[in-house]
Amino acid sequence: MASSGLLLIVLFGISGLLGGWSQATPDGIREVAAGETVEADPFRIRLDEARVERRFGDSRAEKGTAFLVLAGRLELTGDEPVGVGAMGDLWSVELPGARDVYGGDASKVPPPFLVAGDGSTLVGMGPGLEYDVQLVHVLDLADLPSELTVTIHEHGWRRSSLDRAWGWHDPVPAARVRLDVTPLPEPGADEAEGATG
Amino acid sequence: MGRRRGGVVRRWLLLLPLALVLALASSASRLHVFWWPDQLHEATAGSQGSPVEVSDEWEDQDGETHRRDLTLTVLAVAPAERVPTYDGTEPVRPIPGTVLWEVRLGFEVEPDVPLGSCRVSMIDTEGREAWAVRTSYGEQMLPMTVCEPTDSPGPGYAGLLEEVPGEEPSPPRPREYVVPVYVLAADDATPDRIRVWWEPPDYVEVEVDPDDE
Amino acid sequence: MSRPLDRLRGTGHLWGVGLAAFGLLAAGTWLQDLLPERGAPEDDRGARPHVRSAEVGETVDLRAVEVSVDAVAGARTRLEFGSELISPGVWIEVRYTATPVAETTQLGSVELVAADGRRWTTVGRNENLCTESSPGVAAHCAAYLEVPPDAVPGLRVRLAVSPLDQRYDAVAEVDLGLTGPDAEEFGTAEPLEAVAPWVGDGEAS
Repeated sequence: MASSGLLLIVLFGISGLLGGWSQATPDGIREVAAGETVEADPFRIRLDEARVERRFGDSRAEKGTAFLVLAGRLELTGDEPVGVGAMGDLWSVELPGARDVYGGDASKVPPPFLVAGDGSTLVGMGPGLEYDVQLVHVLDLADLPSELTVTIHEHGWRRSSLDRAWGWHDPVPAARVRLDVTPLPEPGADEAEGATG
Repeated sequence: MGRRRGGVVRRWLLLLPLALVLALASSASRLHVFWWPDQLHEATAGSQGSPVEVSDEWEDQDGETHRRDLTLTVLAVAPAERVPTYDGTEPVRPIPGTVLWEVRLGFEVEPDVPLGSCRVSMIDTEGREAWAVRTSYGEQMLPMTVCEPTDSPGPGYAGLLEEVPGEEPSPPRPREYVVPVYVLAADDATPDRIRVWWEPPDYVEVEVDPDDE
Repeated sequence: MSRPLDRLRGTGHLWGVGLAAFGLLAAGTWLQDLLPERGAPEDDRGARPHVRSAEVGETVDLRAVEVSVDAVAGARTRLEFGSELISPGVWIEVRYTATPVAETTQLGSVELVAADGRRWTTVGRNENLCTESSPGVAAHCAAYLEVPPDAVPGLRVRLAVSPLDQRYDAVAEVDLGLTGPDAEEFGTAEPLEAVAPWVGDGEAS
C-alpha cells in the first residue's frame, strides 16, 4: 500500500520534471481586433474588415442574397511551402446558411482564400509572399450577421505518423478576431424586393 | 587460452553465412509485398499476324478472382497516316524527330468480358519502351488507349454495361473487332515488340516487323 | 520466522528491477535524443537524392530523363489561357526540355530554391506545364512559380522525375544566373504568357 503510494509520488515527480502537465497552448486563445496581425504558425494573418457587397468580381449577387466579403493580408513565415491542408485549417467561422460562390455549403467548412488583385484561388503558397486576400461567402439577406468572429488556428511542425514526412499538423485555435460587418450602403429597391421574395 | 578463443571465434564465424541466409529469407517477403506482383513477368509470347490465346486473372476489391480469356492478334505496326478526331479522322501532321506509330490490334472475345484500362507499349530494337498514352501530338490530341470499339464498349468491371441516363445504351460489343492504338516514338526507333496488359504480372508480348503488313 | 525479512527482500528486489528498467529506459531515450532523428526516408544518408549541379543550357542526366534548362524569364503578371495572375512578388518562368531515356516518363517535380534556403514548389498558383514523352522524344515544358523579389538573385531550380519520392534518385540543380538587376527588370516586364508543352524537334504549336 505504502509502496504503491510512493510509486505514484515518484511518477508524478518524473512527469512533472518532463513538463507533462504544462498547458498545451500556453497563451490560450487571444482576442484580437480587426486590423491586428496574428502570428499563427506557419502563417501571419491580418483580417481588416468584413463587408456586404452586391457585386464581387464579375459576378452579381442573386436576388435576395449578398456577398459577405472578408478582407485581409496573409503571409507565410516559414521557409517551406504549404499546401491545401494547413491553409484550409487556418481559419473558421460559423455562418449559418452560408454558401461558397459555387453554391456549396460553407456554413462550417470555409471557402478558400482568393487573391484580391486577380480573384484567383490560393490553396497553397510559398515563403516570403504577402497576399491581399479575400474570403467570400454567399448569404441570404435575412442571414446576414451584423458582426462575426473568425477563429484563427495555428499548427505544429511535426512528422506525419503515416508517412513520417514533415509537415504542419494539429490545428488549434490561437486567436479570435471579432469584426463588425459593414452593411450594404443603402437598402436598394432590389434588396427590398429580394427580402420579401 | 589463445587457441581456445580462436576456436570459439571460428565456430561463430561458421554461423555467419547461416545468419545471413536467415536474414535474407526473413526479409524476402518485401520482394513479394513491394515489388514482384506489380512487375510484368508472366509473358504470353507471340508474333505479328498470329493469334495469341490470352488468359488474364485479376482480383476485385472484395478479393474475388476473375479471369478473362481472349484471342489477340497484332495485325500491323505502321506509321499512322490518319488520327481520329471528335468527328471522324484527319491526316497526321508529322513532327520532326518523331514518328507516330499506329498499332492495329485484333480481338476475339466474348461481349460480356470487361476489357477496360488496358495498357499498350512498343519496345524498339534498342530496348526502349514507349507507352501508348493520351498526349498532344503538335496540335492534334491523340485518343485514349482503349482495347474496345469506342462506340460499342463492353461491360465495366462491375460486370454491367455502363449506361448513361437519358442516352440510348450502346450496342453490345462485337465478338471480333480491330482497334487502332497510337504510340509516339523517336524517329530512330524501330519497333521490335508490342506489349499489351491489364493487370501485372501477366502481359502479352508480340514480336513485330513494321514492314510486314 | 524469517518472513518479514523475506518480504522486505521481495519488495526491495521489485524496486530494484523497476528502477533498473526505468533507468535503462531513460538512458535509452536520452541516447536516442542525442542521435540525429531517424525513421523517415530522408534521414537515410544513403538514400539521399544525388544532386547534379548545372547551368542554364547544360544537359543533366537524371537516369530516367535528360533535362536542360533552356531559358528563364520573370514578370509581375502571368497570363494563363485567358486568366491573369498577379503576383505580390514576381513570377519566374523556367523553360526546360526533358527527354526520356528508356521509358515513357514525365518530369514531375520543379522547385525553386533561394540562396538562403527558402523553397517554392508547385503548390497553389504555381504550375509545371509538362507532358509525358517517349524515349528519345524531347518534351518542351515550362514551369511558373512566384517568389519574393529578394529571392531572385542566386535562385536555383531543382528538377526531378518524382515530386513524391526522390530517394536514391538523381536531381538536377540549375543555377538560373539571376541577379538583383534582373529582379528589378522582372518588376516592370511584360506579362508572361503560359506556354503549353509540346513534343519533338519542332517549334511550339
